[in-house]
Amino acid sequence: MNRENLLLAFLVVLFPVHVWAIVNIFFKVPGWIVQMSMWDVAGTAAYPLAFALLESVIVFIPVVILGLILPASLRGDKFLPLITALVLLVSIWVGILHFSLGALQAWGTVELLLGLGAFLLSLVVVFVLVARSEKLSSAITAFAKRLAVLSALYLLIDIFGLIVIVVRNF
Amino acid sequence: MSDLTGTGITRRDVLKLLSVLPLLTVDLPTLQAGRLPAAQDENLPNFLILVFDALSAFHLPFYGYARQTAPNLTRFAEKATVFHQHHAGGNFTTPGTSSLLTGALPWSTRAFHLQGTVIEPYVKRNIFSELGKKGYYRTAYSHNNLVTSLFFQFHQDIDEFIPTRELCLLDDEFADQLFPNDYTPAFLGEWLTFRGGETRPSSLFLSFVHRLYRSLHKRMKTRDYRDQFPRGIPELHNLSFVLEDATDWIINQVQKMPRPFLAYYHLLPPHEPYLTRKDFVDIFHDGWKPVEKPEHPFTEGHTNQFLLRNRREYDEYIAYADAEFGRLYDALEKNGSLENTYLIVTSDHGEMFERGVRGHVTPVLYEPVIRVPLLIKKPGQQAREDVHIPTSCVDVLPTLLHLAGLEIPDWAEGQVLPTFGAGEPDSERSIFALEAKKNQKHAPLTKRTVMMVKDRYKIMHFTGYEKYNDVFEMYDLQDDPEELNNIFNSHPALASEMKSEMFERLVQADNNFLGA
Repeated sequence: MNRENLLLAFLVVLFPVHVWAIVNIFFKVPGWIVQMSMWDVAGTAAYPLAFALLESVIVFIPVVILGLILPASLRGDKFLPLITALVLLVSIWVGILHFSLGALQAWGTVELLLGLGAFLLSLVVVFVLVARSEKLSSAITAFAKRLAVLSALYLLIDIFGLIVIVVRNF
Repeated sequence: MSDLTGTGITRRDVLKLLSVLPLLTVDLPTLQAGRLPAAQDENLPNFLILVFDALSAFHLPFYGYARQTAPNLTRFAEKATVFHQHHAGGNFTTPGTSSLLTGALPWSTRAFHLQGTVIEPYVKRNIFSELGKKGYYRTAYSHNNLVTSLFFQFHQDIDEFIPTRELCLLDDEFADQLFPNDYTPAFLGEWLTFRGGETRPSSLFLSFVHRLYRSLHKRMKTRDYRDQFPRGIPELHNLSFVLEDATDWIINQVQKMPRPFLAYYHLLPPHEPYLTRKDFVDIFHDGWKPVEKPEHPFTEGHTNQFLLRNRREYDEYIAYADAEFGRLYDALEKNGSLENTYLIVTSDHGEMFERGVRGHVTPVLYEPVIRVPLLIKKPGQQAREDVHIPTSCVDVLPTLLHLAGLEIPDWAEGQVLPTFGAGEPDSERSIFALEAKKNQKHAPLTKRTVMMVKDRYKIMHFTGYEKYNDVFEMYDLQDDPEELNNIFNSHPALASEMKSEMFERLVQADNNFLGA
């Protein structure tokens, strides 16, 4: 796990957090445009964006911890593909959770345990597949590097959002 | 010490970093509005304004309601001036409250959106800024976040601005603490991040953590009150409260405030959800039914049975608010706080349970949703006065300024209320209310409902709605107070006259935003 991999891992974490945030912000923008000036729209969008950056940092902490506790054999070239696969998989599960909260509240213990089991099983399967398959891990690494370019753009937007917040508050 | 990551970070570095985590528990400073010079002329009258959110005049016994929802307000009315045809500026909090505070209608202030704010000129055109000219000590509190957005706009002219959470059991909002200089965008951003509303929260992971925290926090903070409130602890969105806390605080606050003062307190009950106290649960299980009304094209599809149940729960919630008002009024009378004080009781908008509509988030402007109580007790007043001519919430500002010996500014759209001014009241004047949530703030209104009341007649115009476009409704409020018989077509001359006047005022208002 070197500095470059850590940076790439951070950008991978940043990606799903921002895609989710930006999609939901865009749902609100038409309503905001009606009732606000463009400067206020930019300000209002800046807060959830800034929070998405903070959220990325917070989610990145367990990723670093995972990096610290993984066996040495998985900390090298395997670190980035493993983190990428797990972060994206967890994000998909959490996204599904957002869409099915209503149904979930009606679930009993058995259904909940089955759901949790499916979640954990998918993590284990992906972990094992990536850990064992060189081909898969190099494909995911290449994917992560492409993803990082887009995430860097999100990071730029975040910085712009932070500047907007600072200007509006001081 | 081993290098953990290959980046030069050691285990000791991590431990050092962990040691600063407790700093996260340190409270951030709460908003402190700029303090103005202390009040000067103690002979000037004080003004205490109590706003009960969503209190419809149609549900109060002293306006003719069948249920005894408000024995204490009725008792208060016996020693106050009671306005029988008082109208809000709109059908929800933002237009209703902004009109009350600025003395200007929503088509001028442009505060007609949810979490809306007034346009720039009105930031310095309001009841707080005007009474400040006479050295009034001005204080404001609201349970309702929509009002808080307005307070943040006016805060330079409020000497003591009490954050909502001060009188709540819990309020998990943080935008006001972190970003007081940019409250409304920060509040909306926070809301989207953790709650979403009609969209999903924009926080993918932490919104679940926040949700769990909110749930546990609420359970912990409201534990001691569950027996008292079997239907649930009074709440709205992110806050839970009991009105008793606000009552106690107001009694104490009014007593110690510098004189003269303007105190504006905006309390949530009986705003939905209707969660009354134990002593009022089921007190109106009386089988009484209001006049049945046909479904409106803007029906929300509620059955009569549903509406009757909600009406009963609303009435029972009013009884709770009334009981607390009674306690407040008695305490203020007893401790002498009402000497030289005008006590004003009103609401920002009403509530309706008819035509398939429940509540107030609706394009319609029928009387139950816009006719609100207005009771003003003058210092020392012992006899009831009744005013039957139509009045508007925009009249409150000019009335208070008149009583404080201030000139009424030309931007104020109301007039001094009858019995409070020197001249004869104008019974022919027109009263307006507006619903325009879907319009651009700085452009002419294209999708809106506007209503005008003049003398005994009322006209409503709906435009821009897909299934109810360019439709007029007109009622004779004297002969048909339930607004059942649309006389727009049967009284063409009167309809034309009222329509012209209403449109003339609309065009005047829209002209300011042409080409914006």
